[in-house]
Amino acid sequence: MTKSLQTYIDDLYELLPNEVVSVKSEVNPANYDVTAIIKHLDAQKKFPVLIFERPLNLKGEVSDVRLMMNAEITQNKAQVALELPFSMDRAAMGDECLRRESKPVPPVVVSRDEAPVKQVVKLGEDADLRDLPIMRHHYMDGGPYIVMATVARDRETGIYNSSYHRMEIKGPRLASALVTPRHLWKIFKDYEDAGEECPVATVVGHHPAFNIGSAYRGSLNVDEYEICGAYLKEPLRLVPSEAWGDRLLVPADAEVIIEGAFLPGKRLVDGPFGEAPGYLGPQRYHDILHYEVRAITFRRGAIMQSIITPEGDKPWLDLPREAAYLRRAREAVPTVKAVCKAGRHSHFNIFISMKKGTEGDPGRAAAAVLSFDHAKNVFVFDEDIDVYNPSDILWALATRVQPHRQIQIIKDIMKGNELDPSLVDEEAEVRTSCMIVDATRPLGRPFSPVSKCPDDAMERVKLDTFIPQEVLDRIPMDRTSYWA
Amino acid sequence: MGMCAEVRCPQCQQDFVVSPSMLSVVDIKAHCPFCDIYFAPDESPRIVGWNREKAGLGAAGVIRDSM
Repeated sequence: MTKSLQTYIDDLYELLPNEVVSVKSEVNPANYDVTAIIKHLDAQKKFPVLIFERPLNLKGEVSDVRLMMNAEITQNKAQVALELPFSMDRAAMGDECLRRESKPVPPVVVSRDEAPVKQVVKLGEDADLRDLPIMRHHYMDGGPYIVMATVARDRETGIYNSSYHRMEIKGPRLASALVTPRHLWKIFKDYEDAGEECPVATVVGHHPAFNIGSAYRGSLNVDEYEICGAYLKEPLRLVPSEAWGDRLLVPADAEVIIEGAFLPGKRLVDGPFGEAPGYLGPQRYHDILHYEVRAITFRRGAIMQSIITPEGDKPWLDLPREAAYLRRAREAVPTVKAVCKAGRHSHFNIFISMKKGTEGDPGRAAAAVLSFDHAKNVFVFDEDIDVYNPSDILWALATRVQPHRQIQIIKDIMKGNELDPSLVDEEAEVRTSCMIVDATRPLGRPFSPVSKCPDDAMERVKLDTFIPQEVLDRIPMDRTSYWA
Repeated sequence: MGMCAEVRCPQCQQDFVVSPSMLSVVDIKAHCPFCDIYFAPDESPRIVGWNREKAGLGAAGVIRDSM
């Protein structure tokens, strides 16, 4: 069966039945009900997939479309989405991303009759964003927002791009879209410079493997529909859009698709909005595009999603971005073991572990990732450090770093990320300084070994010989010695 | 100057954050996320973190704090 959000929910009920919660009560997503529910669960360290059966739309009526949150919020859910074993660790998941990206899967085009997303088609004035259960996510947000993948096609090459952009709902058929200078910006500018509208569509709900694939970071020459197919492990099924026909193909198995155009020569005021770094991104204008909505299509019984969490943290959705850093670090130093670049603590920080061969390896790996994306601080560790464990990271920083020798500051020559609140002058130039911390042990002199139980003793002594399993099972797991 | 300016809404008197470069656009109207009105920066009773003269827009018509 072709993968969709519906098949993913079926998989969750089979594999993680206690982690799917259907909320039958009415909720008002535009009045922070959904955000508050997620925060209350967070406080209890519970991260179920939430399906809101009776969310209100922006007109205050119970919507025909349901709302789902937390689809890929934890490692085990990302593993279900990507059909990976629960035993696979995060470093291996990064390697798996690179494997899939190296074998893109071309999409296939199907007819409208075969496309579930065409079961309900709203055109022109019938297309009304206010009919959808759209969330206000954070205090001080400028309005209700959709944050899902927006697709567009390069004007010259025809290659498709799929990427995430905050989208504030301004009216029944009007939204704003923040498009910073990356691939979608380049695509839009080509249309704008030619005086043309840029055809776009926003995929408001699909199988999480599609959502994860849309977080891919690579060359503009890579067709991201093919990457989504690689993450889905099957060809992405596409169908002509209502607004643009064959000029813009859209995913046939999506839940909801919003179609329209970015208008040339027009900008809008947008924001504030609680952004991925965990801070409110200020109200903006220059890079906010005018998104004119012309069609909304959806499945009967559709479920829309939002990928943004209350803190802006979406670590498992960002796996492909982490993999992109891993690819770059390994190109410079093949013995790089793992990279952590996903999660709130690593938004502008990159943590690398490697088997160091020469004293210059950490610097090379750090330089390779600093040239990419919005990297600011790079920390390089030996291979025994678990870069996904903050306790390990801080231990190594405390015990393997002499600051005056192993910390390098690069002056503000790099383009910074506009959402980094530590930058000093947005009106002058958005440039950031950078830091490289080499937290690896030196190669050329003795260094105290890590104290540990001898390996042979660990092998020889079997725990259940001394503490019966039934006793072991009664001892509660205590995570107080760990962060997270 | 920083990455954001703090603007007070003339209607509801609540503060919200705005990109300084946005305030420097002639004829721009800020949008209050709390009471949903649009207003020109000159109408705000208080802006912190943005300087109208430095932005090349001439002297301010209202009293402003600046950083």
